[in-house]
Amino acid sequence: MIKKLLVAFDGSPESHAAFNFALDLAQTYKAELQVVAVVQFPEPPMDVETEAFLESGTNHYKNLFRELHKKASAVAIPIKTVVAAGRPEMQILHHIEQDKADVLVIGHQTQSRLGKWLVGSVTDKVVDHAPCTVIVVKKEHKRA
Amino acid sequence: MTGVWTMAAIWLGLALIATLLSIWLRVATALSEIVVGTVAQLIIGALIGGAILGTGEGWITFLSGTGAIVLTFLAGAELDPVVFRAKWKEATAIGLVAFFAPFLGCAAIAYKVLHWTLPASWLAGVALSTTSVAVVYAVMLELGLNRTEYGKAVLAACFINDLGTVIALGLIFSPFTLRTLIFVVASIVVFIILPWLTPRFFHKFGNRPSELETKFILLLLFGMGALASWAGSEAVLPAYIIGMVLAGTVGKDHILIRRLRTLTFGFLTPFYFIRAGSFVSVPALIAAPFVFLTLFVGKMVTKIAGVYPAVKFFKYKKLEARYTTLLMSTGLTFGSIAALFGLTHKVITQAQYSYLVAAVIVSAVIPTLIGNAFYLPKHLLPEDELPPEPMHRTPHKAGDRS
Repeated sequence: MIKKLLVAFDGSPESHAAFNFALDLAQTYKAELQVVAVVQFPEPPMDVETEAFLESGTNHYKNLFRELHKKASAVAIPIKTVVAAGRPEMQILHHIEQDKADVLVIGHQTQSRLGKWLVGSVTDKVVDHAPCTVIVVKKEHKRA
Repeated sequence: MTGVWTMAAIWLGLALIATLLSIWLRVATALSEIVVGTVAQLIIGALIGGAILGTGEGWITFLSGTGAIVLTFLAGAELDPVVFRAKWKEATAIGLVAFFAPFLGCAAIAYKVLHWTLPASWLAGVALSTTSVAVVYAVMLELGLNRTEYGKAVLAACFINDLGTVIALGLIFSPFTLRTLIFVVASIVVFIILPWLTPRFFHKFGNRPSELETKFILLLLFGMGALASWAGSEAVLPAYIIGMVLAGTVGKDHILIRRLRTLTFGFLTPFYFIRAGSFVSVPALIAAPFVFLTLFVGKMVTKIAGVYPAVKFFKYKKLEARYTTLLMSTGLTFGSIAALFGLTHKVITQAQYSYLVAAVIVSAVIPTLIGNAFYLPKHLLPEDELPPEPMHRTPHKAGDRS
């Protein structure tokens, strides 16, 4: 039985697809739905710039969350949204544990080889280490 | 004016390239700008001639210097006075050790091992004594430790560490004449009056489109910078302390800070960091890589030797102590400011400047890489390695600073 769903959200089309998929699941299973977005700092974090990143990132995600809240309230599903800070994979794993999520829904990332080599794929790392079931959603997914 | 506009276009073009690279590679803009400055000078210098960048032009020097001053002010304004008051004993003890150990240790290494002159060795000590508040803050935030007593104390200690650096930079090369005394007395008076005067002044005349607040801050920074320079000191010293004393008032005005950041990152600091990078001599680094490696290892060893026993003295757990030590071994902003001060005041040569900047950059990158590689998130740690209960408050909410 799925009671708690966690969606990893970064504003990309893939993460919107993941949210849509999770919303369908939440309706089907009458599950709680939480969305987590992560503000990532550049390396190495620099004086003043880090705070600026945090502020603009938080505002950016809060604006994006409005659309998610609208979608969710249209189907009468209450959602909880959180903006975290740090390395995305670590924060997503932390929220799975903290919120005792049964399923993580995450978008499928398409990255160039160079991009994967340089920064790696958040999805790959989360799939490898998550203590729960992970559903990876392709961006073509539309709500039923 | 054609020459000036052309040169300005070249600099902003380089700044744009650096920003795009920083977005693409997810690295700090300052780091990217230093590297772009170094590469641009190398390529343009070889193809057309170094003069095309005009690093010695008065207006470029002014914009670059203003960038350093305003950035330093903003860094000081990030201090949380409430946290500092609550943790000042612990923070001062750890911060002073974190400053003095690498300052004295690296100066000794530069003097004894690298056979630098005494002033150059002192400058190496200053440049390598810094700690990056940002690195510590980012990791604290990620681990949710910024709200714990431990996190607050370490963050406050970083400010003390950097305060030690700017005071050393501002006073160690000062001739200590009557002018120095006037500068010190005038600074103390200004630092006492400002927290009282500034909010009242802003309340009465501020919050208008004429940007009175920005002009007032810039007037203060330029005025105190001029006084510092007249006394043979360094303008970043008063800038950092003005930032700290106004942290509880101006520092809390997010809209004003945001406007100052736009001015700083959008226009001023690219001139500062690209210029700083353009002075790095790649041939010097290639010719003697062991010099900068010696400085880097010296910084790491002296930081560890100083900070680890200090944090253990305050009964930090093994895991926290290791983190703290590693995090306090970083530092880029103040390290590069100190090195550039040394070069422009002819305390160090261009080759020594290159070694120092390289050591500072590596010291900003390597400890965080080690932290990322060996850091195990709490949920993967064995039970006996977990921090005590209060540290379990890991809300990880972005925007929470204290």
